[in-house]
Amino acid sequence: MKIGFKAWLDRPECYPVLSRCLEGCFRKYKRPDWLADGGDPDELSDQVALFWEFLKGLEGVNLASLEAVVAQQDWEALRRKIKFMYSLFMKEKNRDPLYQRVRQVLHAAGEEFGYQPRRTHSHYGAISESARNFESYSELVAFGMKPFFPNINVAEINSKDVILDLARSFKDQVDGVLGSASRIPIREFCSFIRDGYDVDLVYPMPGKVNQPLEISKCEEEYETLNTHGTVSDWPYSEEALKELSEVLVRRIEQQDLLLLFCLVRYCRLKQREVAKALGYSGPSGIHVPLARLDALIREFFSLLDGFSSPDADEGLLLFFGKLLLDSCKDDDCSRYS
Amino acid sequence: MTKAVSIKEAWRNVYQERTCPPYAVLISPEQAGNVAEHRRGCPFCAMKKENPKNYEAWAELGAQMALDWPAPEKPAVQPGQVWSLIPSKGGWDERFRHVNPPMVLIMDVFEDVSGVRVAQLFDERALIDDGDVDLGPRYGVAEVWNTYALDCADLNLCFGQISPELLNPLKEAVVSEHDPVDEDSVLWHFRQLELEVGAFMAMEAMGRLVERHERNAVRQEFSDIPSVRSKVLAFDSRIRLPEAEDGLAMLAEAEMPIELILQAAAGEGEQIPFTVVTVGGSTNPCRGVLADLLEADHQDSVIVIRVRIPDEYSQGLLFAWWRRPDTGLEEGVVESDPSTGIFSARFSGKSELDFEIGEPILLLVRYDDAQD
Repeated sequence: MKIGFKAWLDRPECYPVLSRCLEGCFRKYKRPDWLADGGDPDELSDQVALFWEFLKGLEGVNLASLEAVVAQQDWEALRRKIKFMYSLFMKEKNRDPLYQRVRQVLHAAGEEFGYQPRRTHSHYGAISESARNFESYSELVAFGMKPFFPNINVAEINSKDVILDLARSFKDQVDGVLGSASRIPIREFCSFIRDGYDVDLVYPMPGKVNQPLEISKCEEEYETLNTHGTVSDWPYSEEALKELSEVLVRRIEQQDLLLLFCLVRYCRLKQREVAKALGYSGPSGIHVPLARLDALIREFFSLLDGFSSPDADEGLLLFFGKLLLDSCKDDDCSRYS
Repeated sequence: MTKAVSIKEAWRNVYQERTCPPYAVLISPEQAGNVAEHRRGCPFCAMKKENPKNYEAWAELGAQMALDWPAPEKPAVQPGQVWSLIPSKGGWDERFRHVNPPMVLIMDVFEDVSGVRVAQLFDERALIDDGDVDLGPRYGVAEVWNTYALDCADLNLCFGQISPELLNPLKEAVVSEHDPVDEDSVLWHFRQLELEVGAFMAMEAMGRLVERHERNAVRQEFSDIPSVRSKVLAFDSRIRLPEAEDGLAMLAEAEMPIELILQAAAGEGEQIPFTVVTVGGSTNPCRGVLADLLEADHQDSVIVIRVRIPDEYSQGLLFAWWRRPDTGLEEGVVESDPSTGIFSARFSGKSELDFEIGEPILLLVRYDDAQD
């Protein structure tokens, strides 16, 4: 029976489908050290829960182009579109590593903590529909709540047990003030933690993150990037750059422009010599192919971070230029000069 | 989408949407060679690990999502509607990019040629600049600087309609000047690609639109029956023209004197005689010519015929009727492939009896400045 998308998402049948959508795409995510402790919840099930949370939030999205790819049964375009939207959702989520860690622990903690993913932010605590929604920690404090901060070792703030202890304590305090069991936004719980403990050493505030968060790179096209350790602060590993240079060389080759590229950029022959080598009667003959070659390279560069304005990195371009020249042969230079 | 998107992320996303092959192409065995070439040179597909993609799961997810959406429709075409284009509009360019049909906004409808003027749409708001009009979260952004003509038959499904209050200023914006974007910037590359995609879509439709326009011009010219009759008879008074309400049908049924009938070498199969009339001069010279009947088929109450026209006439406009001796002529729809000289004509609403006792009647009209 057809029950509608939202209802389908509330049924267990959706789980294996979502899980298979993600398979093979998210294995690459290695959590940074400070996120990994012995009691990590199962990675894939956590990812599926996040994906589910994202899909729940699609309720208000009625994008005509998304409907069009489904109507045309273009599952590749659907996959690409959803993954892109999901990557943005993840990026937002991962802005605050404390939030990310707390959400992860509460999700794994089971029913006792009442984890509830929502469109804008996730909650924990009371789960019944009629339960009171707790809005804001700072407001509560402004209205006179005196928060109690349990005695913990701040260095262990990322451990599951500490987070759950704090979650329990905060919930008891909120319920006490409001006089009933409440649904608590995880974001507000994080405000409470930040208010009571100096957690910046463990969880730097967004914007102050020094080490690159691998988990935040979830644009799929960059799967192989950034996984081999980076050269200085370029957004690519050396290996990824090598691979990219090979792709561009093949792109040039497909247009029969590789010899032209090498004669001009590697052998540094004069235009007259290049034209002669390629069988043109005069030097002007190579103007059109040169312009095509130039356009091909510029378009390629425009797509990549660090390769073009507004974020061009000269060192990166120099390094990449050398990689491109690796495909040229000395023989060609001597043959045509 | 959200403010979190950098301009390059947005550009990468649009680039893939426009140039990476769709599912139907990826799984088609005939396309495997082109897909492999694409993967070699595409900065996105080449860098992806060969993970198995569970398309069944995505298909299931898509099907579930669609349950909450109204079924897309094919209403009468009107300005302000947002349509997808038929998948066959897509295809490979010379750089192994699979140019995918974009969503379009209907700006004008040209009923005489069954055509439309459209503005191309995109979703990524990070790429908005001068000349773009945001149509809101559902429809994306209209490229007022990238409008072109399409055949109504290119439109696939309609996903809604914007309000006239939004459409009218947009139409005015088409004629106003837009600031050029900086050369070699991300926006410049994006707009280059969008123009290429637009040209790819428009070029494919242009031949059909021009032909329809020419057909309309010919119909107009042949609506003046006395003038047509006198110009034909001025060329050769022995040509016998029947009484008719339509100058084209009159010529299609004209009887030529034997001297005007070109005797082609006997072909393998069946041949049908038809009239070629040349217009554009002070008289309308006519000839009787033979076409090879390649196929005549009757299925689901549609008769389809395919004919090959001799090379020297293949640039003309072919008109076709189905004639029953008792009920007379009924015009069909002609499609041509000028590169092969093969034309097909479809006659709908035809019974088995129509097929048995009727026959195709052809007329070829050509414009010629040099009279023969």
